[in-house]
Amino acid sequence: MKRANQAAAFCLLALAVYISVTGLAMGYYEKSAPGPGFLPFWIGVFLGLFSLGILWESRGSKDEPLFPPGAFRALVAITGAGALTIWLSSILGLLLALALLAGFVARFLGASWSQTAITAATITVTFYFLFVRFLMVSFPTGIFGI
Amino acid sequence: METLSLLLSGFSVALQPVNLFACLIGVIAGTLIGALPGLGPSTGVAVLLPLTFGVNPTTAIVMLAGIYYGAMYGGAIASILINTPGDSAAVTTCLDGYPLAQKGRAGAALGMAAFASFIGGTISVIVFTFLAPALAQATLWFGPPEYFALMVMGLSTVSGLTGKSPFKGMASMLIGLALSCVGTDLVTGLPRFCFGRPELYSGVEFITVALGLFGIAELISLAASDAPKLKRAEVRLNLRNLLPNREDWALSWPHILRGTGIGFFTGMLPGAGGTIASFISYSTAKRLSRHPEKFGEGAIEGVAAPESANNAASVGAFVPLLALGVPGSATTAVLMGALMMYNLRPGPLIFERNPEFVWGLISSMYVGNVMLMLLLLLFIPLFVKVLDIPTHTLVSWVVAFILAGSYGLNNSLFDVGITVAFGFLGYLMKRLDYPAAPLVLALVLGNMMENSLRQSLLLSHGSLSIFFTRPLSLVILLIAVAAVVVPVLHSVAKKKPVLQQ
Repeated sequence: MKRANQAAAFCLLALAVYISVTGLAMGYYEKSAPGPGFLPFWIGVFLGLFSLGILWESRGSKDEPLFPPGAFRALVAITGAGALTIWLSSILGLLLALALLAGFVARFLGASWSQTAITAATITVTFYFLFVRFLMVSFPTGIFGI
Repeated sequence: METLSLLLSGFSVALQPVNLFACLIGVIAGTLIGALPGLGPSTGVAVLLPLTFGVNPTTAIVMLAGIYYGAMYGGAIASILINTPGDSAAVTTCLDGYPLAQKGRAGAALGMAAFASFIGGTISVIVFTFLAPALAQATLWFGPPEYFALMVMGLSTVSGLTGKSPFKGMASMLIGLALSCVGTDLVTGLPRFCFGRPELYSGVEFITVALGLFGIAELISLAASDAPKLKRAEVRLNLRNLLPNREDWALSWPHILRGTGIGFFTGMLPGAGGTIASFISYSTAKRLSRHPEKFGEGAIEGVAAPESANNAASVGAFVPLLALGVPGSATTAVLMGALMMYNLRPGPLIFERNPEFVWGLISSMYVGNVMLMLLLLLFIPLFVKVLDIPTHTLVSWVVAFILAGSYGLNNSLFDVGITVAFGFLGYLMKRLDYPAAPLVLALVLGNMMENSLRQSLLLSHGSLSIFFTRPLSLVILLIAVAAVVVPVLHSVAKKKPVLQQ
């Protein structure tokens, strides 16, 4: 975990510098009141200090892997499928895209094909009645008109 | 006397059929979610928030509050039956609950947890009824410097106390504050950190962030865990088995009362909450018990003490939220965001401006606690069934529900993208031990804190001395500084770096 902690601390440090510099450019003080960049500037300063603290804290810690076995796959599968759902919703509509997402996640986690199909089908019906009919949320529709 | 008449008027709101139904749905959903290992009250409230779209604000918050204290009890079910806490506040319940189940006394343990939760919750609501309005009255004269100091204190204590490293807690809080700066500056109209995206002009919606951090990230953890399916203790659950016997009551009642006091006051402290309350209550019960050697091997008091404390803490957490407008935990931060979504601004004035809402909510807590206990005693075998849901079914349904809810917030796919992105970030944060609660709390409080800061500096013509010449803001800021400095010094003083400990 040592390298991961150090990498995260450097990312935070870079973010801190960006926030502070952008804050200064927005205007630190205007007349006798703080400008829009006042708070961001100080957020950046403190974030930078604490990221240095994290760097200091991580010295000498064990270099264990960041992810346990299978965790990275789960992370990529679920967030990747989530991102794909956004893209697919403009083609298939959100309702069908969510059903495909749920089916994919179920299958990825070990469901049989029949369980996968049941999950996708029941989600389509349930979400249609819950969100579209009951909560009146207008889901984007796709090529099938739903 | 005035409080009692307001409370009675609150009951007329809480007992309306729609609010009773919302409360019932809330406690059932909360108990089910709390019983699922890994999903706690903050996840439950965030995930089910979309169900309240278009509902009257009082009804919505009554349901969300029901989810909160339902989940606090639900955590005990998994602790007792499969030795896996539903959430962190139920960790101590495992210590004696599971051994009791192995001895064939799962029913008594679940029943005692239900009664202890009911007693802890109800006594706390009674104290809350009188304490919160008095506190709100006392803080009516607070000006912008005091509010700024209060919010700084809330953020620093939560950041300093949660997680394994104070540096990481603070970094998480500062990221939340930075996110709260995104959007059009209310004073100058300048867009800040919007990267030319019109969707960001109104700021980052906190619910989309909370759904990612608490919802998606928790589900990824659940999906990634390769632990074998834990064996559930064999139990026969009927009403007779669930009722603790006379000896159980004799052993438990002092610990229930003590746990209630500990839980309520710990719950009021920012950053403490149900987890710390249940740990303190358990260790106090063990220290004061005549049979401390029985703790850890199936002592019924070892279930009663932490369960009364964590339910009392969930009520105590409402005191700073409603009376001061400063949430002290992840769940109350989500609840505060929900209140603001309904244009209700928690704080001292809410008792004057929205008495129907406040007293309706308080009265619903009395009703909810009774409802929770009756449901648990009558339907616990059904609640236990939730432990049999396969991971693939649970994760696939909840992921789809979260994304649908995130879209429904503003009918925006951009919001869905934010939820997915924060799900990714939230899981990385979990792996790296960055607590998510300070980020969400800072995102909720950030705008109000910046406004108070600017108003204070306008009042003082730009001089920071306004924070140090007003006694109350000075005292609050000193506490805030201590909440940052003490954990940091503690971490620095250790021979080994914190991450190695």
